[in-house]
Amino acid sequence: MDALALLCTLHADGPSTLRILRQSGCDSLDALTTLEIDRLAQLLDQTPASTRRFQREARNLRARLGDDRTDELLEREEAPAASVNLAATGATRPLPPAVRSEEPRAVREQETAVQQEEPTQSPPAGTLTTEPVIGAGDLASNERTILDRVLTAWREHDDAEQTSQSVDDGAESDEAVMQITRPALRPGSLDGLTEECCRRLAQVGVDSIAELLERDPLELAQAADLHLTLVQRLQFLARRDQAERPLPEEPLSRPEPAAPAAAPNEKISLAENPLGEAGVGWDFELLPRSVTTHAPSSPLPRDSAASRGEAAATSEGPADAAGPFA
Amino acid sequence: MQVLALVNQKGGCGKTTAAVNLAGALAQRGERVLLVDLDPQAHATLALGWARGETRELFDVLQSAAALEEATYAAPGGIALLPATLKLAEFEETAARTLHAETVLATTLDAARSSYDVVLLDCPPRVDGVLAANALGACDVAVLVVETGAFALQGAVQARKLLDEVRADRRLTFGVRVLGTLFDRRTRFAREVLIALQARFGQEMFETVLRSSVRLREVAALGAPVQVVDPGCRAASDFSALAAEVSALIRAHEKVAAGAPRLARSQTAGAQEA
Repeated sequence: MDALALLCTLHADGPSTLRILRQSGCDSLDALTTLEIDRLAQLLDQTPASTRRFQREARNLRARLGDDRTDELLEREEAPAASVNLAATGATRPLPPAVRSEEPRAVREQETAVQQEEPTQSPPAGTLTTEPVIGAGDLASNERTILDRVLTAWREHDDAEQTSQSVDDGAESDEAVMQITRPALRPGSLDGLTEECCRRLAQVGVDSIAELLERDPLELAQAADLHLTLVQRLQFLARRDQAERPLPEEPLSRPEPAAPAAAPNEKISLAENPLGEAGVGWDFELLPRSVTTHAPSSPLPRDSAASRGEAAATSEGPADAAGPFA
Repeated sequence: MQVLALVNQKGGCGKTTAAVNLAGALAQRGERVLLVDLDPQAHATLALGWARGETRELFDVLQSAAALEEATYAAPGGIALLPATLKLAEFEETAARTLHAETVLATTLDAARSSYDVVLLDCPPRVDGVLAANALGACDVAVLVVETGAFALQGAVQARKLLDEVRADRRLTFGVRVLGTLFDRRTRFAREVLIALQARFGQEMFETVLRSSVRLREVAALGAPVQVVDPGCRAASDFSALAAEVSALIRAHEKVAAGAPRLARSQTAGAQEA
């Protein structure tokens, strides 16, 4: 079975589509991806939108089949028991959508948080690297790597805060309060919030979650040249995150800096706050979801688990699950 | 003549459905097809509407109590059927008292080599019995039927290894092809499994993957292949595409056979056992 036959089976009408493509001289994924949309749409008797999706799937499949981690994926798929812990790879390299979804959300959030926390500093060697770290399959070591990176980020964050505290003599800076009360919009902080999306929103004056929620979605979509559905979805996710992570009602206070920091090689569970106070004085973005101690006051309805997982996994939504010709 | 054995130690993966409807599709292409039901459950026999009477069947052929022609019947769709009944299960017991029990089928089919273009063997869901041994001993190609569902890849890899072991132990020469079945592209899991199968088996896989179809379940109860009942349905087009691939396989094999005539399989197997 060649790649083109596989693509036709996965995302089109199987042998019928394959026959049409081959008869028209298109006998590989490369040939298919270089074919003009109009011509391909005419060949397959499909709409240009469906055809574009089909070509996109062809590109994805080509990238995936060319992925040198195929053997690793196969080993996981051949061992169902092990496939539960697909996060074991600790891969930070962008994967094809279907694979990316297998990583637990918490791990993705940790990685995103780490990358967001240090956007301008060059990371110390071996800690906050954003270079691809392809796991060799050792679950424990990979998890530890991620933990180490998160903890390192926390410690550097603490060090920076302690330094600023000594300068300000313990006074809370307005900026810090703003950061907590008005969380900034950062790429990846919401599902679907890309760097480009952030840039466009910033151009129209939307720099925080609160500002995103305040704006009318239609106006914002038009001003930022974004899809209305994307803006609406981002607002929905932001509202839901706010409901799940309400701000503490008591006055904000800083954690005691005297709390012992973890030794570099000490194993610390993410469920434990090394400073002893959960959710206070921290940048919430750094905390994994499981650490949040506040129950949502009025939780918004979530997407169904299946459709949400599918959407996150494939970035194409449930409608695409059956392929463009469904 | 090309002999294809549809095998997998796992039940319910679509061996019988594939065998019956592939036979129908090949017959529709003009091939002379013999379908041999090697499964004592006799589902292929039932799927072609054969009702047992005072007739001969595969068991009699394996027991040398009947010739192949005597036990072969014309089934719907232009298929020649060598039927089975539950009695076939007895062959596992009687085989112990039979000389060269594992090569009986190969010997029988060799004798009918000029009568058919392709013989399809619908195997029981095991690879360790004497019936499966007969099938593997007689076939030119073992078609590993793999359902694109849970544990598919793991099962397929195990079955593939088993086939390699059997081939090495008995010094057989059959090739192996993999056929994906029960594919439902609406589920991401099935798509992932298929991608993994393709990555693992590559060119061994048939390009055609049989999609899950309600029509196939219906026609099994109607006693005819899908090409007869609903030639325009999606399942029929899948089997037509698969039949085209198998026909190409047959033609390629004929070319090779014409260039280098091989020993009769029964002679080869008999010599090995001796």
